[in-house]
Amino acid sequence: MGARNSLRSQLVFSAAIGIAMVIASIIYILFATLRLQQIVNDQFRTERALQELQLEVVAVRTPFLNYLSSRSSRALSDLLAEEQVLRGMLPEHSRIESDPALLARREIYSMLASYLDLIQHAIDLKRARAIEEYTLLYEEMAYLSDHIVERIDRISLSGLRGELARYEEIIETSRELLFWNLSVIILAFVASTLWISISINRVTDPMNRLAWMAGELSSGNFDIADIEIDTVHEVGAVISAFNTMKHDIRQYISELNRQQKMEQLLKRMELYTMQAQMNPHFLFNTLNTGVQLAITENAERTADFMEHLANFFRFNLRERNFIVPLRREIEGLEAYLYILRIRFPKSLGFSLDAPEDLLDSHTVPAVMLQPLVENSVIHAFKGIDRPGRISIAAQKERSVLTLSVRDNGIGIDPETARRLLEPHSRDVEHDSKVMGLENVIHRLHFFYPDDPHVVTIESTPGCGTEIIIRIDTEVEPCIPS
Amino acid sequence: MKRIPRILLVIVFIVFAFALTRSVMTMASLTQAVATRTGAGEARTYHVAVFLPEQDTLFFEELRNGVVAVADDYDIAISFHPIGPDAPEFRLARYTGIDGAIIYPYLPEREIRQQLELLEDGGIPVVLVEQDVADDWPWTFVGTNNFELGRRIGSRLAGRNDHSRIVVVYSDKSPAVAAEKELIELGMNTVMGDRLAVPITRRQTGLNPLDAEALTYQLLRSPSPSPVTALVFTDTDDTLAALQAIINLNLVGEVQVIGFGITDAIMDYLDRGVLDATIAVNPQRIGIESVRVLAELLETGNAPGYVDTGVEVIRGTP
Repeated sequence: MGARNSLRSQLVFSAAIGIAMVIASIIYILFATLRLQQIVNDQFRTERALQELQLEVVAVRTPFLNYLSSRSSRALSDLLAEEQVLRGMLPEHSRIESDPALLARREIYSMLASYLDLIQHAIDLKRARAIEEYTLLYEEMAYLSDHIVERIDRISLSGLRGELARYEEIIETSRELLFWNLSVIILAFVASTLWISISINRVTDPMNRLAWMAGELSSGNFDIADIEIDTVHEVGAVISAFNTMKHDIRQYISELNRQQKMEQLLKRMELYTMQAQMNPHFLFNTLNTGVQLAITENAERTADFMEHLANFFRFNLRERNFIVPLRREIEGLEAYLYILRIRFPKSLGFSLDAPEDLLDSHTVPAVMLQPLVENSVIHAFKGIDRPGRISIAAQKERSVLTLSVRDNGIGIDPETARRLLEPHSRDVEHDSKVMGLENVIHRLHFFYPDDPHVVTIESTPGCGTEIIIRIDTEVEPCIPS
Repeated sequence: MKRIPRILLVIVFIVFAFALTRSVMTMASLTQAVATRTGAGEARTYHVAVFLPEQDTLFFEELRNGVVAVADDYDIAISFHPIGPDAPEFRLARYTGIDGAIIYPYLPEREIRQQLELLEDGGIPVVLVEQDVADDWPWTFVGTNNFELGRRIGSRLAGRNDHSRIVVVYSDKSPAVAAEKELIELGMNTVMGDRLAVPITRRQTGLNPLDAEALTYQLLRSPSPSPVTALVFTDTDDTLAALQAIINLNLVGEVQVIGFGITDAIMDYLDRGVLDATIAVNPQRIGIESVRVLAELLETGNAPGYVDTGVEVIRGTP
């Protein structure tokens, strides 16, 4: 298979086919030319044969007369030799044809055969010394011989006239034949040239495309399509290797880009954290002082509030792990919800539904739910007089852990929702104002790059929004080293 | 873009195939044309030679047509040869490999008989056409019964009682009739009997188709105690030439004319009443019958001794 489709065999095969076509055409033209010559030669063959016959008929007269006159053995020998020559010129069997010319020739052959038989009869008469009989026979034979010669002349003349009348027709047909033969040889040459050209292109075209692809790769364009082409074995191997190389380079560069972006994001997250942790000890000491002060003044509710606030900050500012148990995420969220309930005792209601069995058995990216709730509190209820409600839920179906934050606020228009979910819709490298929701979405896409639906937004303008996080628990999050 | 060379190759290949086909066809037609000339015609079982006088008259032309028309039906190849004092073909016929001969005996009786016997010795069957030679000859005769012809002419002439003189013009152009003058006149005399004021006068024309015109002028202008009242011609050309003379002499209706042949011109004269009647022999039928009888001879060795192809005297406007 490889040998048959090799570059060498392909080139040899193509060249052989092209050359064979030209050679076959030349052979045909040669054959046609020879046949044409034969046809022209045959045109007067009959007349030439008749002329030779006529000469031989005349030639036999002299030895015949010599024998009858001298009866010498030499004369007899000459006569018999001439008789044999003449007999050899006669066809063995001349069938009866309807064509008058052929019929006339048959009559001549018959008369000649009779003439030769009469020669034998005359020899016998001479030997028998039947002088009167062979004298009369000689007269009869002379008469017959003259008539044969005269008939041959007539037939030859008639044949020549006929052939001359047809000569122009044959020349015209020959001219036509030469034209078609010339066309055959020219077209054979053109066809073989085209065939060889196409065969060469079949080899060189993939090479040209390879050269173009190499140029594109060198200029950094790795999104070009693979070269898919049926070509010879060697070139096919080069193309396959080139395609593989392109895929590997593209994957390698993609990996590099992803790691680079993740590192940038982590740096930003660390920056946020550092900004928030500027002085956590001072903040916690202050809050503890506030708690003790509230207890001293019997303000237990205030003390309780400040304690939750301290827990919330502790969770948010001290958490340095990317992935945390679901219980820790829920605890941080509960502290945040407590604060919100104090802040919005009448205008906002909150509910949290997280089954106990899920809390310790699953992990999630840290600080995911709180920014979503915060986003709802800040944006979802602008310009709404009715009481707002925010529901947080966790559930599991098969291997998918679903976390959802739903509000009954003003909703998000579809275009905004689509833009938010679009990976890298904003240049996070240069945009420092990343919103909480976007931050969560970006982090989820980084942790789960192969799942574009890890986070979705379902919103009905005027009715509310639900942000759903679906984490396949069988897939390990992608955590940079 | 890549497909253009392939499409071009297909087109060139189609044109190439067309040119090659035309070349082969032209070569084949050329070969066929030469083969037709030099090679095989259609094979036949028998070769029959037809010997006729070298005369381009309507009679012989129609006889030839009759022979050719049926030759294929009997699987016979036909060759035509001249017969006459200066033509050696008939004398050498026995050497030509023929299987049979149809002969118009246009030679002296002795010579004809000698050659016919030589042919018979060579096993070559013979049919004589139109011109019988002698009643005792053993060869089959196909043609017109000239006694019957004379009888019919006589019947037509007998319709008029004022015949003081009847002239029968024979011709070298119709040798078969000319050779049997006595038989024709015997037939005429049988019918007319004592109605003839004077014996039937014979005249003869040569091969020139205009001979009859001068003869007619001579016959009708010459003062004679018994003027010509009826003219009988035995050749078509003679009839036409003579009728023109009669019209010129303003003797239409005065002289009863019986012509020969049934050409358009003859039939036109008949319709116009210039011609009283015309003798219609059927040379084509003679040709057809001669081939049929010879084929029978070749196949079975037997044939009728005499085949009468019939004669008609067609009457014109009364």
